[in-house]
Amino acid sequence: MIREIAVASGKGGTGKTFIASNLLYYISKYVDEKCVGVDADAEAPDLALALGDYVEIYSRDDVYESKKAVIDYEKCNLCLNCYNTCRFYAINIDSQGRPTIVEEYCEGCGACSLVCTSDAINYRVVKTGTVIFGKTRHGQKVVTADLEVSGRNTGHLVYIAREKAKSIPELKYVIIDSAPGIGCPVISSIVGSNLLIICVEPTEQSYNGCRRLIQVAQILKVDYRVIINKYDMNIEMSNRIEKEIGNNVIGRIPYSRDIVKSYADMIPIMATNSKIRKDLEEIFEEILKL
Amino acid sequence: MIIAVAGGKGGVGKTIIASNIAILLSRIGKTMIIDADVDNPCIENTLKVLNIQVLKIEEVYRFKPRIIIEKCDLCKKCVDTCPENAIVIIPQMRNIFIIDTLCAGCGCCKLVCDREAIVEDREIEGTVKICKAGTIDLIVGELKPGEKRSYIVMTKIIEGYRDLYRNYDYTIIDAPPGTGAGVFSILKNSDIHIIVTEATRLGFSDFMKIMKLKISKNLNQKTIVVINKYDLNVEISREIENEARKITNYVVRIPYSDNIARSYMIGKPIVLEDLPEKKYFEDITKIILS
Repeated sequence: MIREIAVASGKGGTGKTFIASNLLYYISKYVDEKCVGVDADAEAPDLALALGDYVEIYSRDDVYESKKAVIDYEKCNLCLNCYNTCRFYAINIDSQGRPTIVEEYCEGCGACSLVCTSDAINYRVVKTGTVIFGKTRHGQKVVTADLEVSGRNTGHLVYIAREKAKSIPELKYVIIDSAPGIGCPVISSIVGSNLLIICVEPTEQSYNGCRRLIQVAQILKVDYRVIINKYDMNIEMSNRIEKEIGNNVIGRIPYSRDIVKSYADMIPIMATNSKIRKDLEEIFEEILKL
Repeated sequence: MIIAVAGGKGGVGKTIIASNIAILLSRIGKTMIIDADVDNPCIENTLKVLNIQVLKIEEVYRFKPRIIIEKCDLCKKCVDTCPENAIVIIPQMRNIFIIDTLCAGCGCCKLVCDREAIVEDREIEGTVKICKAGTIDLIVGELKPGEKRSYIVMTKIIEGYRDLYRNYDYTIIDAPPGTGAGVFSILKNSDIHIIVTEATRLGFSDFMKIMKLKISKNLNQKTIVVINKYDLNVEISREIENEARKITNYVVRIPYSDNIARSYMIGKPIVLEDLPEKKYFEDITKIILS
């Protein structure tokens, strides 16, 4: 059976990729090499980079599943039904009174063409993004969902990346490095996972995000655990988080220059002699026991 | 003047920059901040010391179709039209239903139904708060946990309140992390871009993705690149600066600072205190006004 573990945080920059990359490294070296990482932070993917970057690419698939409306002005009779129907702010009126498509808001849903009285609206397919599958310098397999800049449909791209990862034969572990937040790509990362790891820092801003994400986990009925990262930046706040969240807090990690250095050198902490390694090992053992 | 604060990576300091420059700009003109990071809005915590007053809370809705089974003749038009395949029909049981989690709220089903069997309900996707923080006005968007359609709340605050924020001398939009459609629409609709990154490999990689967005979409607005915590890795900082110089002359470097970290934690922006770090935010403000 495949075990899927998602790593997420309500707020960005609290250590998701740090935890995901090191957990994947740990599993691949000490538990079972039949594991893969999925970078689901499609707007800013970094998981492969944290593991030394790709050194071999097995496949690179462009995904073309987004549609955008296109208006044929030879046919358009300026009835503006399209403008009045679109629910996504995706049609504007220009200075000549013509409807224009705001591509970044267009869902490609087709509502505008349904109400067009002159058959002037067509659709073109645009690239959603790319799903890259390869091996990193430190030896881990990683599937990256890489959204086109200014793109939409992140959730769908994440779904495709997860499916790609799970097609590896005899696979045992999938580690998903989620996007920040609680929206579509995050839900797409968490849904169907066996466990959600939430990274939180001892700030109100990060803790708010953590609590929102716990609500999402509860709605989706996914088991979750919380790691307090840089806990020593505000021990009082860390204690409060631990008290409020209770047994679901699975570990604390101190602030460390070693982590900054490991990122700069693109070497996971688990591959170094840092003191932090011990803290992480204990947390990872706990996670894998669940 | 509309000033967008963006950065591909999460947690690089966007909200810190937005709140500090807002305070400085509010001393010379009417200023508003829009917190568009609807998955995890942080501006209220970051400006806590200003005793934020909430003036109004508005709900943001999505169109939610409801089928009146008595009127439905199971013609299947809605099923065939729905772009998300969210409508399921079981002819044997004379049953038809909508899978709410798939429904995007486009309204196509209602448009094609000729029996008026689909009526318009609405679903709360999130809220928009109008607040006051001293002399600064705030618009804060917040996605409801469990809902995935961040873009509905975000487009609402960017497009739905345009008439309101146009009246300000300075409107600062605190963008969500990432490089997708939402960030693009914010950058496109602003006069000045502040691109924030940090001196790590991951920060650099995400910075390059947002640069790609700006270049490929011809977003040629005046740009200020802020390298936060540049002293984490001076070499990477220099690489970021070299890339930044290709599109702008304005690069501001901020060192790692315990004072800034503390000011963020307690919700008292650093420019309100007489500390040397306030100079960096004064520099950014000077460039905005130059």
